[in-house]
Amino acid sequence: MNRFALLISILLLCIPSFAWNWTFPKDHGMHPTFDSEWVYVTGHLTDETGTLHGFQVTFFRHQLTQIPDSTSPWNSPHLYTAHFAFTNGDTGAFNHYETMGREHPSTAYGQRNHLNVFIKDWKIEMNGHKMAIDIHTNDGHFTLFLAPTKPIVFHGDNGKSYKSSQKNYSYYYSMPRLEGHGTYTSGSNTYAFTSASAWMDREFFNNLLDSKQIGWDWFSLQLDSGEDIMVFQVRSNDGSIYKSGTYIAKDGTTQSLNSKDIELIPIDYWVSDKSQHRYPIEWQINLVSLNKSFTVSARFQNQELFNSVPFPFFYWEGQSLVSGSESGRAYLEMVGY
Amino acid sequence: MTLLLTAIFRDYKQYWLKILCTIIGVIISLSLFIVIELFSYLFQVPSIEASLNVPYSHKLVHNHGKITQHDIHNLSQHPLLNRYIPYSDIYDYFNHPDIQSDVLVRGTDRFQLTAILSDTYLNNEKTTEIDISPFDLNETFLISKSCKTGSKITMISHLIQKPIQAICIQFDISQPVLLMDIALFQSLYSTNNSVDSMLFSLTQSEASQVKSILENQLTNFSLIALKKEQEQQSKWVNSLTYNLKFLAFISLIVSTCLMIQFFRFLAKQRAFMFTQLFQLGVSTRIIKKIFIAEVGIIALFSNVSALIIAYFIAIYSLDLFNQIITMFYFKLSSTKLVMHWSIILKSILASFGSFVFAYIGYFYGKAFGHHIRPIIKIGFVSLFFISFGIGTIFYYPSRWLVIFSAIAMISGFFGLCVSSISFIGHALRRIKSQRFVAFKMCRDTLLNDPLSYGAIVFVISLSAGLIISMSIFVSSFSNTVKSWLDTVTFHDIYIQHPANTIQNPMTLPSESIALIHQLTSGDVKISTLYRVPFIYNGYPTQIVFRSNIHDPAYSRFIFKEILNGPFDLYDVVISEPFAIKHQLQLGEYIQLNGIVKNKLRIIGIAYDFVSEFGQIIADNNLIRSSQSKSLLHGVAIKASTATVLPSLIPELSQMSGINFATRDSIIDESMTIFNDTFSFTWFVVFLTGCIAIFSLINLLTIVCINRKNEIAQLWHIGFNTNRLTGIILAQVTIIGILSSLISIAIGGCFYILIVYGIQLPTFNWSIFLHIPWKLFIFTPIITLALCLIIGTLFMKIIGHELGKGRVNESIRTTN
Repeated sequence: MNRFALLISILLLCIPSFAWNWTFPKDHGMHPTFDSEWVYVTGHLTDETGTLHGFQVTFFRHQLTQIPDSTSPWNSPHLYTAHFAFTNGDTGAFNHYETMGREHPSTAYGQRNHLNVFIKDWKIEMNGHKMAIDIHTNDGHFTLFLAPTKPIVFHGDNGKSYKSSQKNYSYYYSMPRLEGHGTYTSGSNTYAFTSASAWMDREFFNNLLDSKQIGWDWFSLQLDSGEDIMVFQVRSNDGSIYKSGTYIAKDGTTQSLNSKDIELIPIDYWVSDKSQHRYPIEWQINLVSLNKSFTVSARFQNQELFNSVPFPFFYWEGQSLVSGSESGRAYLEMVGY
Repeated sequence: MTLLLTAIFRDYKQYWLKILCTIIGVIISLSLFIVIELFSYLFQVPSIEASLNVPYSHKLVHNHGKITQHDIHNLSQHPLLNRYIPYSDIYDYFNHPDIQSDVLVRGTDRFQLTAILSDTYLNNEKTTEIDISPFDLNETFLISKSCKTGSKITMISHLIQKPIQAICIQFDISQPVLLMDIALFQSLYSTNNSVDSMLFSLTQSEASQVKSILENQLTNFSLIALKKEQEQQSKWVNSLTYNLKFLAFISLIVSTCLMIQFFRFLAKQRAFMFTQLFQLGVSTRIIKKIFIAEVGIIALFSNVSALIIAYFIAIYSLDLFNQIITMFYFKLSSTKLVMHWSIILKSILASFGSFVFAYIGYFYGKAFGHHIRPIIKIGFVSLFFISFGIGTIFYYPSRWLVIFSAIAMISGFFGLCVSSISFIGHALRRIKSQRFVAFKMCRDTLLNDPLSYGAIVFVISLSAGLIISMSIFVSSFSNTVKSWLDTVTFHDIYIQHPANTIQNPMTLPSESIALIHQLTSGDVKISTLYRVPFIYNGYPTQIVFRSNIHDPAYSRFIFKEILNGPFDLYDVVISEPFAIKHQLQLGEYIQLNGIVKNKLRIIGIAYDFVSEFGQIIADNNLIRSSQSKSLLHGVAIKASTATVLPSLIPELSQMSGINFATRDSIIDESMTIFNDTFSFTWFVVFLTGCIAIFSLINLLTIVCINRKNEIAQLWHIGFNTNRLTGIILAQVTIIGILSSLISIAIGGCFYILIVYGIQLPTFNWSIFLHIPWKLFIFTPIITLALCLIIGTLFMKIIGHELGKGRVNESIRTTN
């Protein structure tokens, strides 16, 4: 093989790192060749009394460094973890749960060719366009049935979403408007949700952040006008910030937003009693290129999660409201405070 | 009231020696009780390990060994049982400059583990010091007090002969623990991917549901509450606690008896004063209040003094106690004494009980002892109590009944002492001979206060009885173990890894075994010793593999029961503790899940004093047929001729990485350790003996004070000190003989209590009675001799002064 042929073959091998050939429903499934990925569903639920509630269901897959030549059944290639949080709009209570399982057909598994992930009795699956979420906690049972009302949105460059200047990225798409219904039984209370409006994010990646990056702020906004916006910023310990986003029109057409287009200004803070972390829970968001300016405020201050698996960490993820030139509902995630 | 109390306490000058002896006796016995209680609580204080903030509350184990993957799959089908954490552990020895000791290697869920580590061992600042790869199953954490948090060390495992890299976490823990993922643990240590247990976090109602599922559907499994398991982890701890509690109980009884007789003495001393006060118009209520105040002050003083003294003794002897326990029982490094409220409550109750006893006795039982019929009744009731106590221990030796039996026996003996004193008092009336008139003169004194004299007799006989019982027990135990060791140590030399212990089996490296084979010639027979520790019915046990246990050479086992041959590979011998603990009979089958596939038939039950949990002895070929990787824990050498050993021993001494011992040295060292184990007990017995001596002086002062007028009158009519001493010694002799006789009975009963009530249910070891006749005969004689010697000395030094009191008419003109 001459040098030219070798160069071509190397370039061909590198193609997958430059672009991803999206295929559905296969890409709804797991991507075991990547280090990590998640299925992130957040949304807003309205019960029979008209009260607005919020929820978050996230399934993570992490690739494990296995033990060489081990026959142990615990020597799994992947670890699945999941978080579930419910914001009770009636009482303001915020409850969150977690579970985990090593990859095993009877314990935890994510299908490779379509969305079907379970960890013990926690499950999220997609049949055709219909999505079902089924979560059993120690004190409750949450079910949700959703269907998309907008096409899939690919963020960044056809789904390749950079988190830093060129080096770190994830493959990232969203289903920004999933509508449906469901129920939640918690202790003696049962909530029947007559309407649900959810946002699903799918991301898979190898090196999401660079060594200086310490956390991120992520927003998913469902505006009353029918438009949807996703913006995020990744913060570094040297003070530099990387921002990106996607604007989704009512008809589903998208427009990428870059750092210059986005201004995220913290307005108000809340300090957690548990972690002592200081989270900005109210933000001024200016989208310069879209000529939009609005405020995103946490509906309830205490929507902080503590998770112990795979390592103990705190983050804030909760239901928020949009006000200002636009109105609507949002989910805000803040990590690394 | 204050004035009256001042007058009362001024009166104490008259009988200062009596008060001093009593108070010292009470304080010593109460302090002894408190110190022993404080030490026994050291075992109940949660260990550092137990204070781990572990996210689980219960442990599910297989009743007959380990939990296989198939079991886990079946158990996971139940919704309550699918949220489990797998768990296994093993002891390994690691070579590293920082860690040269046994390390408890624990395999559990890597991801739960990180949370526990972070939660328990590390604060937020320290978390950043550790470079954790959260998704690496190969990562291990060494928790030790001798390495710096965050440092990475590579240690060579002795068990698997492989290097293991660990991230250090510095923590004040008595024994290093190596934490790793269960996958890594199984890859390194487990041969069949089974686990020791499954851990759960369950509420009480969930635990009840799980227990119900196990009882009805999964009968091979048991659910153990971790808290309960920690409390019952070792019967050694329990046994030691029982022994200490028993001694504490005796100390408390001694202290109570001393207080009873003291309070009664005070009541009697106050009798005249109270009558006068009553005649002067002071109401009975006020008089009783004065008495209660006096007694209360004495009780408070004794209790507070005892608490302070005991606490200081405990603090200063804590290190010594740690060393003794570490040397003879298990590793103990307690640094914190806990003054549990129950200790203070018990000592207060003892004072209160004594007071109530004395108060009722004085104000409502003045005529007690004057009539023979109630005395005979009390005597019979006391004998019934003693018989009931002994019978219960023989037939129903459960923990609670043992306590009741002990109380019944002690109450019985107390009653017997009191009734005997009274009965003797009545019997003395029949003395006609002039020679024994001194004895007859004791009659009134004994009949006037049988309760106080009974209490003194009881204290002396209890102390002597304790010495007798411990002597019989230690002698019997020692002889049983000695004869057992003589018989079962069959080989000439035993070789093992230097760190190998019963609790932590350690394998012998294959290179060492090869070298031993090279050193030995055809004149010796080398036997291999394998051990596999596991959990059977929730209790740790081990299966010991011997080279063909059906070989006639092994007939030297001392069998309690054995079936007739022929035997096959799947026939095993179990030890007596194992048979008793698991209620197994000859001919029954046992299944050792995860160790041996086939069921094993019990063909013999052998006496064994190695472990209180018992063991199974099986054929070496059994392990070879069922385990792909077996752990060799020792080599035994039997020389065909005696000439081989002198040349072999020096060569073995040159070998590194092994520890060897000859048959004789094993027996000698075992017996030395055995004897040393009881040194603490002997120390307590010695202190009890000291109390007995104080009680004796106490007795003499009571006798002298009670007979003060009589002695004074006798002295004034011409009796010299020798004759007065004779009169007092006559009474001391009566009490001494009675105490000696009762001490023999108490000694015998306590032996039964210790052997059948404490040792047998705890260790399941049969102990064969062996009476140390010399000690058995000499203890009562020494008790009597001491009574007389101390009595004579007392009378010569102090007692004769009592006879110089004033009387109206005296024939003496000079002193």
